[in-house]
Amino acid sequence: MFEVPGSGESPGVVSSEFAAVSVSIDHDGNSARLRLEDLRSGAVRFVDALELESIVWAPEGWFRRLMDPSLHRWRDADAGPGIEAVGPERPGR
Amino acid sequence: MTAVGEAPERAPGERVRSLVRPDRVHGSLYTDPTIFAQELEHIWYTTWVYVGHVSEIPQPKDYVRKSIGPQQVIMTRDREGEVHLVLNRCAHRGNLVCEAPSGNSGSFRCPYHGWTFSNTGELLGAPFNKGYGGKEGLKELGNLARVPRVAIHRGFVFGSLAEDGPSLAEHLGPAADRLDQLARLSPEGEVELTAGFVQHEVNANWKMLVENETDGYHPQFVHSSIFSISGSSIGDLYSDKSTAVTRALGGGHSENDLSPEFRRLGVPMGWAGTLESKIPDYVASMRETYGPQTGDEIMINGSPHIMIFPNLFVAEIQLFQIQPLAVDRTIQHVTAIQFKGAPDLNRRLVTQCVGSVGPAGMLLADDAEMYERNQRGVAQLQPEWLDLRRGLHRESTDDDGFTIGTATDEISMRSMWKHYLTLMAPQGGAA
Repeated sequence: MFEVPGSGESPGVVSSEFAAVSVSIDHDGNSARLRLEDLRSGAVRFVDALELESIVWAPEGWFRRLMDPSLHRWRDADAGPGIEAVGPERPGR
Repeated sequence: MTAVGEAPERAPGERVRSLVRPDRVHGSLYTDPTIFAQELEHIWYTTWVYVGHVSEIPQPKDYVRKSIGPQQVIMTRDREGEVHLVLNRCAHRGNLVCEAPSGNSGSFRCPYHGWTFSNTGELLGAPFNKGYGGKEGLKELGNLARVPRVAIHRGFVFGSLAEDGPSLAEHLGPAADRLDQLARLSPEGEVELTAGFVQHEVNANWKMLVENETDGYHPQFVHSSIFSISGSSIGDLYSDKSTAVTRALGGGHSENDLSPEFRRLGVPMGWAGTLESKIPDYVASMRETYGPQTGDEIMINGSPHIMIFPNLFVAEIQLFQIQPLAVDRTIQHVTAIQFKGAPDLNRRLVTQCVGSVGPAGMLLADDAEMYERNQRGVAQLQPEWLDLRRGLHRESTDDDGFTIGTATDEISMRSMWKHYLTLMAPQGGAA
């Protein structure tokens, strides 16, 4: 199984046959933020409170668009500007 | 003479009609791969087939792998709560999209090349999509195939791979009432299939299982050991002295109606082999929900013992889902029925089912042995036919117009084969 890393509290793993992500709350910044780590690649993303609230209110179509592999991780090299590149940051930072 | 295992060369419908008689059926119906292929086309991929229960996907984005015959199906619940059935085959290279038996995911990503689909089957994207002309090019690509017709009765989800045909209500007919009867045994009116499934695979033709489920002639012989060990009196109900009846419900459905014996006994929960004192919370809940008189009537009449053609068997406390894989290979997916709002009863039902149909259960092991012996036996050359005439001379009609016989008569088999012909040889009817 995956080792659950991170300096945050209450780590847990949300996993299915398609993905495995460790979830914890990180306090290294000036206010708390969510720390998400893709356990299959090691990529990390921090999500602040306002971003989380926006996710809660985001329309379903937003999530559906996000599910397109060509949108980010498996994007063609000459496909033009992509969304913000993510990590990977390594665990334990 | 026709060699067993190979049906005579005729047009498909005519050939099948020649193999099914009112009082006997030909052995090749159980052994001929060409007939099995026709059954897939005319029965399993045409008529309504039981797929699963809504309680197996309680939350939005839940999914569970199921089947329609050999076809692998994913039963999903979308974010609005609607139930969908999609085939487990990537639109790209045909890989299985889902491997886990169940999970929670609003989208499925094929592990082969990453094509990603919504849990209703729509293609959401593919990696490096410039190879398809970009996002716009994806519109030319395929989705997961959907089971074209999905319908639910009392939480039981059925699917039909045919675009058109009779409605589920028409397919179930009076069998729907038996599912209602089952649900009424819950103080909250709902069945839950949450105890987990055991898969029993046998080297036998699927129709041997269907025929056996409401065959009241075999229990006293095949199941005598478990009846004697457990002290169960159920075996006595399957005798010619019993007031229980075998009833043909039409549409290939049949039941062993043991309720006359349970009413004669007049004890709540006698059908489940337990006592009111052992499940006081359940009994109190039932009387509170339905009123003392109706509650007791429900608990005395008990649970149905019904075979809903072609693959759903409710045997009082357990549910079987029949899945044919080949002419001589069948899986029974078995679970203990659970009733919402009845935790004390549910615990007993799980324990009973472990003893009867669990991995080391004694009841289904008996049947499995008979199925496999039967499959080997029917491959012998002579005699060519299997006999179905038990009770043919004493069939009668009940007050509701259904054909009935004694608890041990083979009415259920005859009615199953009659319906079989309407599907396999639709221009003819019973030979």
